[in-house]
Amino acid sequence: MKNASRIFRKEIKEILKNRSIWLPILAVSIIFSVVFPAALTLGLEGMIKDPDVADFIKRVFQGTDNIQLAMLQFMIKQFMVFLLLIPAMLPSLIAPASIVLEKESNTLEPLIATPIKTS
Amino acid sequence: MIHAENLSKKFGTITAVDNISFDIEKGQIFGFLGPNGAGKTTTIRMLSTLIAPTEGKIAIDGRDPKKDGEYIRSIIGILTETPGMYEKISAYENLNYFSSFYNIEEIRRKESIEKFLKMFELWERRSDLVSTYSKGMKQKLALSRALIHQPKILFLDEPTAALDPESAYMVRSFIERLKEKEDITIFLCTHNLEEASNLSDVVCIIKSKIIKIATLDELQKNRKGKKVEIILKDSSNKYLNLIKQFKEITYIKTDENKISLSLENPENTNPMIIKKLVEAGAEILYFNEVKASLEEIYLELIRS
Repeated sequence: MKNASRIFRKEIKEILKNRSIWLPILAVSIIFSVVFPAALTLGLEGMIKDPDVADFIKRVFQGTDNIQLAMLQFMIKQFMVFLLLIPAMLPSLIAPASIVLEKESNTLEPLIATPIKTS
Repeated sequence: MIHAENLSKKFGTITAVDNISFDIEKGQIFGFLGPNGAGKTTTIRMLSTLIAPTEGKIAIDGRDPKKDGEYIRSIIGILTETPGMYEKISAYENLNYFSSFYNIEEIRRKESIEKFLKMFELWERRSDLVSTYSKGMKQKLALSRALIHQPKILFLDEPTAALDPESAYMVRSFIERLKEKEDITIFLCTHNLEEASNLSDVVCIIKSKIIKIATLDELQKNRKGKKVEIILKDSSNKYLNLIKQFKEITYIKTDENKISLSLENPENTNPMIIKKLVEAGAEILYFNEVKASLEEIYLELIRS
């Protein structure tokens, strides 16, 4: 267990120093949780000016005083779902990256030549 | 210390190592020589428990790798063909990481890391990422990793291949010191025949099968032809025809006042050659046996 935690700590250290692994995760998260909601918020005023859209929004958010605020809350809630992508993407990127990095740097052989359990 | 019996390794239809057997005594340096693809690295991998043999038996320090793999790995140090260090972490972190798997007190481990980094002149750059290191520096770092836990057996696969002459000399001197002081058993795989000749107690020449296994002295003694060099006071050409009369001589070359010969049965022929030369009025300054280099012996054996 001690050895497993040592390997885990080293992996994290190495991955944090390897931008090509964590940058895509960060980029996707920022795009879905910040960039898209921000863009929609900025475009919200223009959308409400369209009578058909305004009518549709009124029907969806019946009984709401501030339609603009309700719409914003709705969109943020929708995009928050994408934040769940981070924990889903993390292991699927880290696991292959760990193996690829070991293979690339030829460190697997010296590692399994140490007295760690290999089976 | 190392016992290999009828060891074979097959990869599909290819037989990399074919029924080899040898014993290596404690404290010996075992020079393992052979052309590319001869099965040297595969043998190291089998002996260091990295891969299992297809057939045969191995005992390391009297233990079976199948049952006591962890123990065996705790007493061996291995320097693989490629340095194999983590590029995105520092040299110190690399050594600290690998050495943490051995049962060594942290304080002793840190002392050991410092000792080897200083010895291989890497201490000043210990905090730099390994990716910024040259090939030779990485090789020295990998050698430090192999030694940090004071192994009883050291497997060295081309230890000086990537090093500049000064560093290679330093590593060779270090291996010699290890042999004298630490009583460590060294399995040395190399293409550098001079290195093998200077360091090895026993030399094993392999080409899938073992071609020859002997000490350098035995290899030189058992060689078919012996070389002799005669240095005369005057020109050697004068005596060429005289020497050619000896049927035992297989090769003859003259160069100013020097005659180089290859001959069978020198113990009987040499006195006769000397007698004939003296009778013909030659003044012999030197009469030397020229020992064959490991390179000559190796090439003869591999080609035959």
